[in-house]
Amino acid sequence: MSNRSIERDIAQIALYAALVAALGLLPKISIPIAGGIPITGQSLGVMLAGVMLGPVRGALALLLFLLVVALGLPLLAGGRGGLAVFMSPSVGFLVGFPFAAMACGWLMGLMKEKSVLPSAWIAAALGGIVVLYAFGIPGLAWKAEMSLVDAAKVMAVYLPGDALKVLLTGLIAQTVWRGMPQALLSRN
Amino acid sequence: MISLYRQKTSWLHRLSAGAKLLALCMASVAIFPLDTLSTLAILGLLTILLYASLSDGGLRELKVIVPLWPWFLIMWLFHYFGGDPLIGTVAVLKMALMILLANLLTLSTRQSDLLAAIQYGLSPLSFLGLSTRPLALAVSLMIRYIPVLLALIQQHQQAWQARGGRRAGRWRLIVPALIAALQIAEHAGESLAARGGVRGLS
Repeated sequence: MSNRSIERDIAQIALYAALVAALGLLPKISIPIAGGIPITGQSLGVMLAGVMLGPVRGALALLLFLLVVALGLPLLAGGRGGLAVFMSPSVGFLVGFPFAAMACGWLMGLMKEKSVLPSAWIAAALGGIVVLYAFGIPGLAWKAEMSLVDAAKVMAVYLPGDALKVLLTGLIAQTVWRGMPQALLSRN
Repeated sequence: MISLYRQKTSWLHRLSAGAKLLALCMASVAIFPLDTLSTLAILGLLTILLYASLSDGGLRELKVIVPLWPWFLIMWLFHYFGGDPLIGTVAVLKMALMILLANLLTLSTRQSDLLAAIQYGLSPLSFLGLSTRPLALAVSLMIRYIPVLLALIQQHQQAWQARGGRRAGRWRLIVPALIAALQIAEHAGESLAARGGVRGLS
């Protein structure tokens, strides 16, 4: 790998990590459980990172995001950050971020031959919801000492919002693809 | 960029980042199996004393727990309706305790020190040919991009509103903001390479 592409990779990974942070810092639309697991705007960033960057770089972007949160920046939705967030009920989701991005990216790669919009939707739904919740719900059950069923019930309230994010991810990916196809690293 | 680090000094600030990280890990392992109310209550009091020892206003930092109250309530209610409110109380206490202890580390440690400690901890990876130097670069790049992205999104929002755009269509703003940001990242990558690249940095 030439020097040039390493720097380009780092810059893009840092950019998507910053995007996840920015989405957490934007004021969120009203969510039923105030101060609850605040993964609202951010899982959009997770889906985008995976869909746009592919599995490896997407996962690295999320790992970078988690590292900077761990270092003490309040980048989690709700202005939370530092090591304390890894002791909170949402730790499963946090750990799941890089895996979800990896799944999104891997699926996008699998569907390279298909058109962008449906592939992005499928990738975002399977990665950003199925995989993410596969980490988040057990994490919640474990941390909060609840049963899996109870944890799933609690998280169900976030599904409509996440479905909306899947929709957005596909539309964004497709629009960027039309304007700047080389930005869709998951396909190149 | 705002951070959760507390600028004042205290005895905790003077301890090394690595030592605190290790202590936190050991504390997590030790606390995890505990399930008696009295033990956790005593540990909780000790933690509050630790906060109080952080010079003026240390107790105010306990507020980190406050935004999580809905979660504590939900947890406790599930246990209550499940017939064991005591376990619910224990679970809530344990979580609050761990959050407060972890927060102590964040309060008293500079990001740069913590990053250095983490890089040191990861240094055995160099056997696999992986260097930790790009890590600091990636961290500083990411931190610098955040206000840039926020500004781009806000600029596009204002332009959208000025043109009388509907709120529902606002998602489209992410696209030009993202493309503009990607171009910035592209230039950043190029200028980094021009300056000698990652390997050229000491």
